[in-house]
Amino acid sequence: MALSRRAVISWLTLLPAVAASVIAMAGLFGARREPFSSAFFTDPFFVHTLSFSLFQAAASCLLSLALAVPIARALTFHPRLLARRWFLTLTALAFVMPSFVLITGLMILFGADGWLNFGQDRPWSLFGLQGILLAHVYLNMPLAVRVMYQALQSIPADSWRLARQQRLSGWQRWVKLEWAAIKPHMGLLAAFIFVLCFNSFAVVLTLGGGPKSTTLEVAIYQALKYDFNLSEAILLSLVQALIAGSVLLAAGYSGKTSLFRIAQRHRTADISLSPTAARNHAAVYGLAWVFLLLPIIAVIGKALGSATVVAIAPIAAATAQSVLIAGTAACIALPLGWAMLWPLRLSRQRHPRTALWAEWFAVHHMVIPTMVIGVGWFAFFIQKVDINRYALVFLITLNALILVPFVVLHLKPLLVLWDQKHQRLLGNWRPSPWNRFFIEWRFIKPTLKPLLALLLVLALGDVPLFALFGQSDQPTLTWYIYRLAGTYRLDSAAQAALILLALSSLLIFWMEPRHARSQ
Amino acid sequence: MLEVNDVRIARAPLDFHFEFSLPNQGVLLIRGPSGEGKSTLLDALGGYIPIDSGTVTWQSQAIGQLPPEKRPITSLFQSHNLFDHLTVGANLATALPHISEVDRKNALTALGVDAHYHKYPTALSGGQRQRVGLIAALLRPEPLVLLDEPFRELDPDTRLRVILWTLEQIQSLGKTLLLVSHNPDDDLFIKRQVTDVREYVVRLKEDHSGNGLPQSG
Repeated sequence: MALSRRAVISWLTLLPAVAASVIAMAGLFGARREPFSSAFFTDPFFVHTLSFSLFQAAASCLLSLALAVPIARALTFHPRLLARRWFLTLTALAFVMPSFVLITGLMILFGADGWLNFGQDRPWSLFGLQGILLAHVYLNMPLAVRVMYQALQSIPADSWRLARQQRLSGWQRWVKLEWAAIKPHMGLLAAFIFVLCFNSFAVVLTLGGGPKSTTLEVAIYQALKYDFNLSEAILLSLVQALIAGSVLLAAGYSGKTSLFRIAQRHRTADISLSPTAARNHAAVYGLAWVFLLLPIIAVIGKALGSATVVAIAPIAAATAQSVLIAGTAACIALPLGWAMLWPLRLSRQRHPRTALWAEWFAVHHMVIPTMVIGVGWFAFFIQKVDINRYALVFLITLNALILVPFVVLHLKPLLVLWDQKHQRLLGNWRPSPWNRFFIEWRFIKPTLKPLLALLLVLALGDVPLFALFGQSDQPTLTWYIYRLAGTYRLDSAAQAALILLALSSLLIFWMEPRHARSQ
Repeated sequence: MLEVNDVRIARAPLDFHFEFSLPNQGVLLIRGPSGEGKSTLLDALGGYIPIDSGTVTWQSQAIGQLPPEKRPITSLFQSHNLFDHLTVGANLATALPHISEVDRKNALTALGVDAHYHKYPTALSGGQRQRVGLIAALLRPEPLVLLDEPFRELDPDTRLRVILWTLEQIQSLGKTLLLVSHNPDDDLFIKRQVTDVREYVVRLKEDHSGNGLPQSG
């Protein structure tokens, strides 16, 4: 059947996302470089970097998942946990926390003169694998907690009652109910966390502490920025994209599971809880609070307790730069993502296979590491335009493209439901295109606030793109913190981090379902 | 004249077959047991499900393959006749941009729902929503109106008032009406008010084509 004019136009909306990837690929494959040598792949540096990347990602992922289980269970089973909703907000904040805020906090806590570094003779070193794991667990365990908690919440009340009635032991209940509810999400969750850690840039750059603990992502950056070795950066990027993409695809990534949403209402599972079990759950919950709060308290304490105050002008300029880039990118990504859902919505009912393709094109940037897209664009444009001159344009465009999949994944379930409910009414009433847009706009408007907040927090935390395209004399807040922390000016770094933390916290608070007030 | 000629729709495991005609400004009561194809017929005429074979013509023009928004038809479905996030007033302004706000409000007054102009549909009862939906469907400019159990959720008094108003509008606007109804009293009342009412019974019958599946016709 020939495509209607509307269908053809709808597919054109995917052009920006596809063009961005084509440019990146053209850059990666087409750049002039040394003849390819397979010796590169047997080079000890490459082998070590690749194995370290894989190892730290796998270890971070396993640790995050293992630690999340008792916390999610405590949240589900303990009937009276203080400030449960606030804790869930804290997990959201921890997951999207700009890496350099966390790193500053960790350096204040565990750095050479850190508050909690008690080893007098041989102080514990934050730098190396241990520091990377600590930071990755901090950033990703909260996501796992949210997903597992959500899964446990979805177990019907009747099932808990039935388990009680059948006198199931704790272990039987875990196997038959809890694990059964968590399991369907585990593959995707594990893959997602693995890839996040595998692609991690800021954490490894600062806490890696040298070539021994470096990952592909950082090696790409170093090859490009320090060694000016485009051909090595390109080869590393291809390996990186191949591994990250394969892992997500193998885990069946299709944007079907919402990893971030959390139920409005908490239901405590109806199980008999012994006093010891209740105490254990409360203890786990308390420890989780401490773990997630400590770096935040460290940043706040250091920032406010410092005698010197960071120079206002550069920090204000950096904040303005961050808000400009993140705000513009989010405002571009929103309509772009909304429009990119169009072909999917048109083809969903009659051509589900076509709809899958449309969705894949709209979200495919999710599986390509940001650094890879960035390097591809860098390689493509380096000979054609003055990258330094148009740095801001590159930063805004690429940040917007990276954000588009989040818009698509957020709006898709809403709009699919909307179509199911109202498609016939629209056919019946025949509103003009403008009127149609207006009706739909009114429908999605209430959900745009949390989405916009999420997009802003994500863009505020960008490191890889700024590392490639940014101008050192016009840093973003994130990059400014990196420079301060990297030169051990921890007081100033903490003060700058506090501003970024405050911005992110406000946005997260704005985004999360309303708090204890409504409970 | 609306002509439905040998229309077949396969919706596994059922196989529907429809055939009837209706003159301009006529009224057709569609009856039959639940689940035997009444709503399927209206959906097919409205263009919301494809027909597998046969033809549908209106004033001798084939309309069976047109998209819903190109057909001379407006429908009132069993549910989802209003946008929940728009007020009653905004819903009517969307559905009826060709008539004045005063006329829209008059219609609401005629059906006793004028007090809800600024409310959202979720704040209305099922019967009130149904009346607003009916106004939106009947006053649209398309000449053919398909109503799927439009009076179902109304109490007996309101019911007669709404049926009378519907028939008045149909006659004064020169519309052709297809109406699915489950209520014999409603049918009787309509037959008393309108002289030329036709009936079409949709019923699944045993299939004689050899595949053992029931057919509608």
